[in-house]
This record gives sequence, structure tokens and C-alpha cells, in this order.
Amino acid sequence: MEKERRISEYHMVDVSPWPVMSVIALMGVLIGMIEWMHGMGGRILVMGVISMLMSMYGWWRDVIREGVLEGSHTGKVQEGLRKGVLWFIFTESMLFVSIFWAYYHSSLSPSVELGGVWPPRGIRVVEAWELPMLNTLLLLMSGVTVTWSHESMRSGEKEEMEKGLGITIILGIVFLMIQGYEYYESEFRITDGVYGSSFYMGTGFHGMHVLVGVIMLSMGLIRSIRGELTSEHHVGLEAGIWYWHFVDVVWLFLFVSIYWWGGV
Amino acid sequence: MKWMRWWLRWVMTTNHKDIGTMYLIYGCWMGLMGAGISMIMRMELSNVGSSVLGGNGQLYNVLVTGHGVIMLLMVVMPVMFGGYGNWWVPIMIGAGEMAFPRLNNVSFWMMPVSTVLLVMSMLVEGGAGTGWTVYPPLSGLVGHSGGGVDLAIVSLHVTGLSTILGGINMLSTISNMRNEVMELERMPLFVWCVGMTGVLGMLVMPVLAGGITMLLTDRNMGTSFYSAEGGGDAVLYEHLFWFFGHPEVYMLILPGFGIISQVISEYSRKEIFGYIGMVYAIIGIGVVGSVVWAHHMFTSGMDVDTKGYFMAASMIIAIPTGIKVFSWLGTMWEGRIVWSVSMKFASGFVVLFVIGGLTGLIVSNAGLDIAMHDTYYVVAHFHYVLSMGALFAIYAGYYYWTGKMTGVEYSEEGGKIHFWSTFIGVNVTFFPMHYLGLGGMPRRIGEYADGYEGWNRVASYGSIITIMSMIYWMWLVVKSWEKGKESEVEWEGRSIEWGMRRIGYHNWKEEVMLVKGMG
Amino acid sequence: MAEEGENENMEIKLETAPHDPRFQTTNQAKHCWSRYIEYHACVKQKGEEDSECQKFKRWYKSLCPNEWLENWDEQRANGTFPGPV
Repeated sequence: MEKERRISEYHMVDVSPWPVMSVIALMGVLIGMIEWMHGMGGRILVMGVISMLMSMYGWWRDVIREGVLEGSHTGKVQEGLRKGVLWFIFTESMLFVSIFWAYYHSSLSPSVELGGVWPPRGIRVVEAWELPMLNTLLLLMSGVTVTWSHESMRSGEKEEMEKGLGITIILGIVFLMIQGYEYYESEFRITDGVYGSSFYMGTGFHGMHVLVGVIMLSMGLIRSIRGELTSEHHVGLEAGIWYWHFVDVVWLFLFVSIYWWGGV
Repeated sequence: MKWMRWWLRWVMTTNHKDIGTMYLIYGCWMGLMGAGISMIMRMELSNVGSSVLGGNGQLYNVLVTGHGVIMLLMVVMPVMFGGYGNWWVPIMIGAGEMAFPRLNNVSFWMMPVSTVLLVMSMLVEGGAGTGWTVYPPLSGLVGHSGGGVDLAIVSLHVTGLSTILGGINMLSTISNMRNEVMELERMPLFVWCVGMTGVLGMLVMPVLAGGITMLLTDRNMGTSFYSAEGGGDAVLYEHLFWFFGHPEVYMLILPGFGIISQVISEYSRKEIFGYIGMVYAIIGIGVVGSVVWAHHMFTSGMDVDTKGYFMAASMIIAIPTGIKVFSWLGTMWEGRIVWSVSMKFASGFVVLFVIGGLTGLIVSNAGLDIAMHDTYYVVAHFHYVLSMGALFAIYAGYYYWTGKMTGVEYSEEGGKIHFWSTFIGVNVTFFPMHYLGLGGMPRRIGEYADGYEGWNRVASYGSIITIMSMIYWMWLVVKSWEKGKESEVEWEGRSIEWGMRRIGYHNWKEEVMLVKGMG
Repeated sequence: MAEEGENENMEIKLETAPHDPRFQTTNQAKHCWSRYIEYHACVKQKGEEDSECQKFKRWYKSLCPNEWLENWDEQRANGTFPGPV
């Protein structure tokens, strides 16, 4: 049966324990999260997160093995994976649509309780042209370096590609650190009315996505150092690069609407 | 060893047919649960005053929540999109398998998890008596301080995630794995419908996820997106919810449209009439259906211009839907109609869905809706399109495909009895609700004024007929497994799956060859 | 209300603020809020007796719930009023 299955140009995947494992872990995460939020301790949450990470590790390890060692990722399969990634990024952008929707709903016509102005009375906003501007520059620069590494990957210049990718990852980490500092220094909290809520919800979700992007790119870098990527076959890295561009664009919207337009 | 093999075959499966089968079994099971809840509600409503629930209004509302969420997200979506979609889309396009089989499995196993979370939410601290819409401030800390609403929220998250992953999978399959002869304008209408469902799911489910995440943080982390004290606005939640909720109802019915198209074309022995028009109608329903959400909010205090737009846009959906109904009738016209059970259900679908669609036109009128909003008229409307539309499509799909899925045939006589008892049962249940609604009976409340008792009694009798027919159907299904005659290819089928002898566990090669043979 | 009840033939004229295209929605909270602020801005400029200002007062009195007005008056007295007055 095994031999027969290989004939397809698509990937006929073997049975796998990871889907059901990660679903059980997901249940642990969610129930644990609710217990934790209701002040019942976070043990289930921790267990859920750990088993989630373990099944994610196993799942992706299998994908990498199938792609690199078994040669299951034919051109057609790679195209399918790319399409899947693009659809995934589309759903992610719709998530941000809902967050921006909430932000504009609250800010375009600020409610009476806020004094009818945006930003509300009494909120000392984060100055757009200081740290946020630096962050914008960092992310734009990382967009350039990630493209540098993307083009080098395509033309097979491995060293250039790793250099560009490394710089991108460092820029991403610096961005996250500056964002953390900005949170630390800011004079309002997530509980300070709808301004604080939408500010931290928007920038916080974006920060989490930057973290995911950094992890994806770091995996690409590690795999490149281990020699698993070729100029024709690097779907995982390409997914990370697309994701990084997506995260960049979301930041531009955040900067323009929350920091700049919403900060004056 | 036997258990190990069972575990490998079903729990860790990556086979689209096995996953489809699990979706169907899960959907049946949840259907029983949802129907059971509705029976309790009908018993409560069968006479004036409180009866079985002992006057516990919160419990009634918890049942409303459970019935809504189960029927929409855990019965119709898994059966149509997960079950039939998984079974037939890869076969119809000659792909042999879904694009991401493991992702497919994870989408399925998320559904039982969301069920567990929903049932937990019904059981802890009075449950979530919010309805499936989970509107704040009722769902806020003031209305529901316990953990029930939190669990209901994460249950919705999990079903949403399942739909998103299913949509990614389905769209990657349809866009990447079509056989070279399967051009877009030759694709069976069922595949078009499931594809549009996937697109809508990816478009709107993340918006719901964002909206209910903000509700979760409002409840637990002190944000104030929806609370007026902090400058938030509860109407924002209504917008986010219905931006999801309205396309969601099209996601529920679109695969049904696809099934009906296949069945009517098959049993009229004709190509579908106006195929290209049907395709554009599907796309039109998807696109226009995504920009009409605020017709659920006519009483929330919108301005007149906004109401005017949403009213007009909602009414425009009648045009692509009308094209579909016209094409179905055009397909039947002058056809050699074979009155098999699934054809009966398909015709029943057309008739009853048109009734539901027409009452939909009435409630889409912003002026009339001020009177209709939150009455049983609305309940009657969406049960005509769901409990008769979507349910009839599911039954039609079962009778149409069961021979191919299980290898054995159902009993024709039993199917006839099932159709007529269902047809009578649902109409007796839901038609009186129009009168109740026009009389002003509010929905989502366990008690009512004396004057409404008569028609409520009739509706409760109808619900007994319906549930009996449902149990009879389950008996019929099991009976067919036990002693049904083996199914054969009796005739030249029009759609691809009919060309297969018998669909086994791993015979993707035959499937692929079959579609190639079309070219 | 007292100033209108003065005419002897007891004909009560019921009226509220005229339509304002800035406030299209059924929910007129923002309308009430703006009229309240406009009244106080007007008082600052022209004094309390001005007929313009009295007009604003009539309008916000008919639009706003009394509870809100008490609240806002108190806030203005304490200097914690959030609006631009």
C-alpha cells in the first residue's frame, strides 16, 4: 500500500497522533484559562500549554521530515501549502479587521462618558513621533532585510540569505523589547476605559503576531543552517516571510490610526 | 491489537472519507441533543404558565442558548460542510484526498471539544442564558457573573477555529487539487457551494473570534469595549456578531443549495438548467450576504439612511436566490422525474425554502421589522429556512449518497413514510408560529399570555410528530446497515461519484481516473 | 417648564430640539451632550440671559435625562467635567 500511495502527485499523509493530541491540549488550555481567570489557580493552564507546545513540536517535526527526508512535498504539494498559508494570512487579517472595527467604532464618535473627544479626557497618550516612530522604522527596515534574504534564497546565495534573515530576527526582537518598554512606561492601563482597552488589544495582538513571526523566521534560519532549504524548496521560510510582511502592514495601520491619528 | 487498529483508523485518521463519516455521526448525535432540548422547550410552551421547568426562566434561556448553538454550529455546519463536503468535494474534483489531511482531522476533533465546553457552560453556575448571540450587557459580568458565559465563549471560539481550518483546507483543495480536466466552469455546483461556504467562513469567523475575545476580556480583564461606563458601546458587539452571524446563515444553507442542485439534476435526468447563472448566483449570495448584517439590528437605534441601505441590500439577495429557485424548477421542467426519496426531499426543500424566503423579505423590511423583531414571526422565518431548508437538504443528501457511502441501500417505503411524517411534522410545528408572531408573542421567554395557548399547543403536537419521524429515520438508517440490499450502479449518473462502483477506504486512484475520463 | 406654563389659556406646546443632521441615530445621547456643552459655551460668551443660550437650554432640557444633568452639574462644580467647557 505504501508504494502505491507514493504514485500520487499529492501527499497522501499517514495516520498521525498530533491532531487529536493538540485538540486535547487545546481543551486543557481553554478550561485552564477559564479556571485561572476565575481565580482557581493555573495548573491546568500550564499543563495545557505544555502539551500544546509538545504536540506542535511533534506535528511540525513530522512535516519537516516528510518534506526533507521523504520527499513528499512535490511541486504541486508546495503550491497547495503556499495557498493554505495565503488563506491563513487572510483569516488573520480579518481578525485585525475586528480589532480595528472596535477601535474606530469607539473613536470616530467618542461616547458621552469619554467627554465626546478622542483621546478621552485625562488620558496621557503615547507620543507617536518618539518610540512608536522608531518602531515603525525598525519594522520597515526589517521588511527590507527580509526581502533581501528572500531574494538571496531564490537565487541560492545562502550566506546573504542567512545574514538578511538574522538581521530581520534581531530587528523583530528589538521591536518587541521597545514595545515592552513602551507598555512599562505608559501612563494608562488596559482597564482605563475604552481607550486603554483598544490600545492594548490592538498593539498587544500585533505584538503576539510579531512574536510568532520571529519564531517562524528563526525556524527558517535554523533549518537553513542545518542545510534543509534549497532555492527551489523553502515553503516554511517563505510562509514566515509572507507572515512577516503581513505583520509589517498591520503595524503601519496601527501606527497611523492608534498612535498618530488617535493620539492628537 | 484490534483496539490499536481502531484507534489508528478513526482517531488518528487522515482519510477524508473517514473524517467525513465521523462528522456525520457527530452531527447526528448532536442533532438528537439539539432536538431533545427543543422538545423540552416545546413541553414548557405547550400550555400557559410554567410546566416542566418549574418557572425557572434562566434554565429556559440556557436551553435556548444550547439549542441555537448546537443546531447551527454543531449540526448543520459539521454535517453539510464537514460531512458531505469532506466526502464528496475531493471525489467530485478528482483530487483523491484533501489538501491537508491532518488539518482535516484537527478540524473534526475540535467539534467534540466545543461540545464538551458548551455542555459544561450549561451546567456551571446557572449556565449561559444569553441565546446564541451572547449579547452584552446580558452576557457581561452584571448579567452573568458565573463561568458559564466564559465557557460558552470559548466553545464558540473552538467551533470558529474548526470552521476556519476547514475553510483553509477546502479552499486549498479546490484551488490546487482539481484534476486537469476539471475546469472551474465544469465543477459540480456542490463544490462551488462548499467553496463559497469556505470563503465566507474564513471571512467572518475571525471577526466573531475577535468580538467574543473582547467580550471575554470585558468580563475578566477589566476592558470596556462593550460597557458604557468606560466609553464602550454594546452596539459594537451587535455589529461584530452579525457581521459574522449573517454570512453564517448563508454558510448553513449554501451547501444545502449544492446538494439540492445535484439531486434535482440527477433525478430529473437533465443537466442543471442555467449552470453559469447558478454559479454566479452562489457568488452573488456570498458577496451580498456579507454586507447586509445590520438588518438584524433594526431596533438598535440606527439612523434611517443606514436602515434604508441594509433593507435594500437584504432584499436584493432575493434575486440570486430567485435565480436558483427558477433554475431548479427549470431543471425539473420537462424532465423525466424519478420520485425517489431524495427527490421528494429536494422538492420539499424548494417549496418550504421559498416560504421561508418570502417571510424573510417581510422581516427584512425595516418598517415592518420594528413590529416583527423578537417575535415568533422571526422564529418561524428562520426555522422555515433552517429546520426545513437545511434539514431537508441534509436528508436529501443522506438518501442520495448513502448507497455510495455505506454500500447498502435504504428502504424506499420507509423513506416515503419518513418524508411525509417530517413534512407534516415541521409544518404543523412552525406554521402556527407565524400567527403567534403576528399576534405579538415574544421569543426567548418561557411563558406567555393566555391568548397564545391554542397555536402553541398545535406547535407542540407538531414537534412530537417531527421528533417521531426523526427517531424513525434513525431506525431506518440502522436497519439499512443491518439488512439493506447492496447498492449498485442502477443507471448512468450525471455527477462523478455515480460512476464509481463502490467507494472504499483507499481508492483514490479510481476516483482520479474517473474525473480524467471526463476530459 | 415653568417659563412656558405662563400663558393663561393652558395650551401646552410640546416640542423638542429640531432635527440636526449631525445626529441621525435614534439614540440622541450625543445630541443632548452637544447641546449641553453648547449652552455652557454660549453662557460663557454671551451671558445667561441671551435668547440664543436659552434656546440651547430648552433643547438640552428636553433631550437629556435629568439624572445625567444633575451628574454633569455636579461634575462642573467639582471641576471634573470631561467635556470641553
